Amino acid sequence: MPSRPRARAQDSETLDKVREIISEQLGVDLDKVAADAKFVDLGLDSLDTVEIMMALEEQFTITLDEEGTEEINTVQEAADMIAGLK
Amino acid sequence: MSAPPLTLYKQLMREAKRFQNYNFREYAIRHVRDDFRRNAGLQGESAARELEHGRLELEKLRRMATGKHAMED
Repeated sequence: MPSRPRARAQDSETLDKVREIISEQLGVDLDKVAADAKFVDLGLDSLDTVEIMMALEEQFTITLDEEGTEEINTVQEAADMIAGLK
Repeated sequence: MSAPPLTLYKQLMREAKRFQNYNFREYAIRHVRDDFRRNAGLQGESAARELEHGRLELEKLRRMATGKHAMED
């Protein structure tokens, strides 16, 4: 795994929180939710995605616009989106 | 196969999560989730009927949220 510059260190916290929320939604262990995993491969459908986005809004105290969330297909993309809003 | 009404789902979930009482909250969330999944394949008239049912549920929950189950005091 390539080393990341210091600026991304905070993002790994965001990523882990996103992974946690998704693992809770799925009811699976955290280690089954890889950063590069696609929602569809994890077995998440559009209803799950709605709940995940709501949980992310609550967790990070942000508002996500629906159009933006439609383009989120992986765990990492969700984390990047949030990191971009903070 | 038509897409599920995601906005209605989100609205219902918002209201369900407002219950202060843990049991009411969990029941409401599970109820919304189960209903949408069960009705996922519906088309035409039955889909329209369930959609209307969902909207009525939303109105009911919104009225309840201003009562004793409200999050806010």
